Amino acid sequence: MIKEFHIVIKIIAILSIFLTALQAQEMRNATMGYLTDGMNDIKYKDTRIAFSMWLEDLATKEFMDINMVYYDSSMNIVNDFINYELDYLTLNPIFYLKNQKIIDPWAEEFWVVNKGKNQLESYLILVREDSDIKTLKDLKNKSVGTREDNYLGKMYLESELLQVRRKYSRNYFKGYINTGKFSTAILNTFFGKVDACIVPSYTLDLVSEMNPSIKKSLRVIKRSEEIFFPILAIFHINTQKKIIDDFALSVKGLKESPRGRNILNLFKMEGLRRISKEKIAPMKEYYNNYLGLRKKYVK
Amino acid sequence: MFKFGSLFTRTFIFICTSLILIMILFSYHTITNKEVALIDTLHSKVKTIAKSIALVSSDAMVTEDYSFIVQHNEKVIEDNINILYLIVTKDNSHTNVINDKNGWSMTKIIPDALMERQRDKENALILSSTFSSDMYCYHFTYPIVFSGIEWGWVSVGFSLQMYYQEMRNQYIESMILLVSTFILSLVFTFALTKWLVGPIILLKDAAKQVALGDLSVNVNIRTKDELGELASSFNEMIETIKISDKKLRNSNYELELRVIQRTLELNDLNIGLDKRVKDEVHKRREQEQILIQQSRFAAMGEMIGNIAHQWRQPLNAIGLLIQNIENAYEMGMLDDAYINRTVEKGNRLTKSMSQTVDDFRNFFKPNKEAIIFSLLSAVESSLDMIRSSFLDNMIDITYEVDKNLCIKGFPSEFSQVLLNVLNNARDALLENKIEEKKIFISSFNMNEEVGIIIKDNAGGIPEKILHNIFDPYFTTKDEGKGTGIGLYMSKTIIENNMNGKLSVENGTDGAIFSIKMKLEVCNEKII
Repeated sequence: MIKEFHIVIKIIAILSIFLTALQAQEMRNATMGYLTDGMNDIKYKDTRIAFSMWLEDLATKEFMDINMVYYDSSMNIVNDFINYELDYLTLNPIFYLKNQKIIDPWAEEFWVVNKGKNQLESYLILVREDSDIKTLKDLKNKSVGTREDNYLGKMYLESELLQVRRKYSRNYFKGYINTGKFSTAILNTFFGKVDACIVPSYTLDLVSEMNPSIKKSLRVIKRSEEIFFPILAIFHINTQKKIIDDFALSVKGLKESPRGRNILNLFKMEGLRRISKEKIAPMKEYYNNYLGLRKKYVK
Repeated sequence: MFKFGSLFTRTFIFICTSLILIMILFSYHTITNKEVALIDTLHSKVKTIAKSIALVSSDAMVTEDYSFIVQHNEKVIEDNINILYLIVTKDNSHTNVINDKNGWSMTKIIPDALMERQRDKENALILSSTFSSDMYCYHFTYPIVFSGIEWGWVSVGFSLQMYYQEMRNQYIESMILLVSTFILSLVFTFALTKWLVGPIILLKDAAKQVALGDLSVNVNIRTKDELGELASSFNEMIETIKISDKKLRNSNYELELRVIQRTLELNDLNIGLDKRVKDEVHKRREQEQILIQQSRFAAMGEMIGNIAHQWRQPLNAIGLLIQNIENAYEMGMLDDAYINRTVEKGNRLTKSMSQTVDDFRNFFKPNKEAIIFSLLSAVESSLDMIRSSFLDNMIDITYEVDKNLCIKGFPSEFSQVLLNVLNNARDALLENKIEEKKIFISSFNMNEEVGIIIKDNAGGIPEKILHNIFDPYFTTKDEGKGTGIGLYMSKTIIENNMNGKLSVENGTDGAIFSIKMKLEVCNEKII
């Protein structure tokens, strides 16, 4: 009897060692970078919580041991990326556009965050329906509301004005009225606190969902092409293919569980999808045109 | 054990009901407290939310920064799933910013019920439904004050879902508690009742056995309480009963012997008594016979008086006849013709006297068989016997009797009855000293019934003795004048011997005697 008991104990011990060994064997390490500048619509605290939860899921489900690094300087994150300190980075697209020549050689795969229904968004310049502002030129000496870190939107407005006016004047507007959120900028326009606002198209849809009269009370005086997106994620060229695949698998599964949906809510996004370089190209082209216009008219 | 009305059942029901009632009261108290506590908590929570909104929104209210108010309210609603709506009202413009889970709007019009409430300083009420939801909600209004000026109000509609859920849970818990208590109380009460009432039931069963005559029972209760003492006393009582029973049986045996003795003595006594009863009955009969005889003698005396009256006139006539003979002889007028005429006259007078004797003899001759006879003849023959006596006493007798009425019976007894009644009437008339003494005899014929009515004007019989006059030996006459037998005999003759009915009543002037008989068909001979 005692002999048989010893045999069972030995079998259990062997199985435990085998399973532990299997787990240890599958664990993969990676480092991710996140640039907080240009991400004001997501609270830093929420970002930390969401990443913490997600990384926990990646560790338990995909056997990935992710090291998360937060940056407040675009220069530092780009440097670490090109030096392969990071397998992956997340940033506002404007910083990619500004550093595209440095990043592109090290970039293997691009992912974009969707905040609306579409993968690519357009920018809107909105005024009140009863406003006398009809064109961009009418914005002279007017106040424009937008999110403080809406670098892309501000770039778009400046670019459009340069195209229309063919000259640059620093104090053409009365000034930007910066807000914490795009929705505040829209509401400020609705309530007449600012003359106009520049926001991504998805924000107008979101705000109008809560009060449909907003859409009716506001008028779009300028709409960009659908070439922009709010957040860009890039995998380093040296990142293991397996890590990218597991990452993709994990992202795909986020919507399927309450925990995953909670993570998405904390990130304030609908999802994260792969994007081809070709789809990014129009934005890059627009930015390059903008740079050309600045070169031409800004003295 | 569970018999309706038994001590066990009553004790069981009492304890069980008490326990359940206590639990119901406890549950009610708990539910009420919980309800109050939940409402207090809810109120506190909503007030805190409203205060925080009022505090945060006060700047925006002053600067009319509605976008801030809208977004802040959105954030508050997003963070608190129980808030159904938020209304921020600016006082001077009456602009209401209404946020709920579906969005927000600005309006100047809100439901009256809410509007009224918003005007108050701080208030709370439960609304059955609001503009944004059909759910019950806790509506709380709180003023937005900045620099001591009231700028508007914030109203919070808080869902009561959690409150109702909590209350539902409390009800369920209470129900479970009640049901559990009920089941446990049944078990507990059963055990307790058995413990309490068990010894009493033992005693009851023992008492029942004793009642059935079994004195061998012994109650085995060894507790040191009152019941234990009672059981001990009961056992002692049984022992005492056993001794008493033994004594009783002995006494009973002795008593039975004495009863047998007494019974024998009584039997002897009974035989003697029977003989004495028979003797007494015989004596009574003899006395009755004597009385009847006396009555008859009295009647005979009466009759003799009457005969004497009847005879007085012919006797005077005979006396005068004899005196005339003497005178005629002295005067030389006594010739053959005179003798013949006188003898003829004397014969006629003696014959009349003889007829009177025959009449009275017939009257006293008892009838052997019942015969049909005429009422009129009976009345007339009776009157013949007393007429002269009544005339002497100046009593006027008149009669109206139908000659065609006949009855069956004994004519002489019937006449005796008539005479008895008439003699009583005469005595009453004389005793009461009536001036115009009258007796009226009439007949009646009604529905196969006939009869004689004898009325007088003597004033009637006193009501208190009216029902006793037919009793034997009952008389109002002075001693020696009446026997108390006459009317008793008359009633016996009419009702027992002739199947008739003799009754009396008082009329306006005097007594009215009625004799009712069955009508019979008269044959020509009788008439």
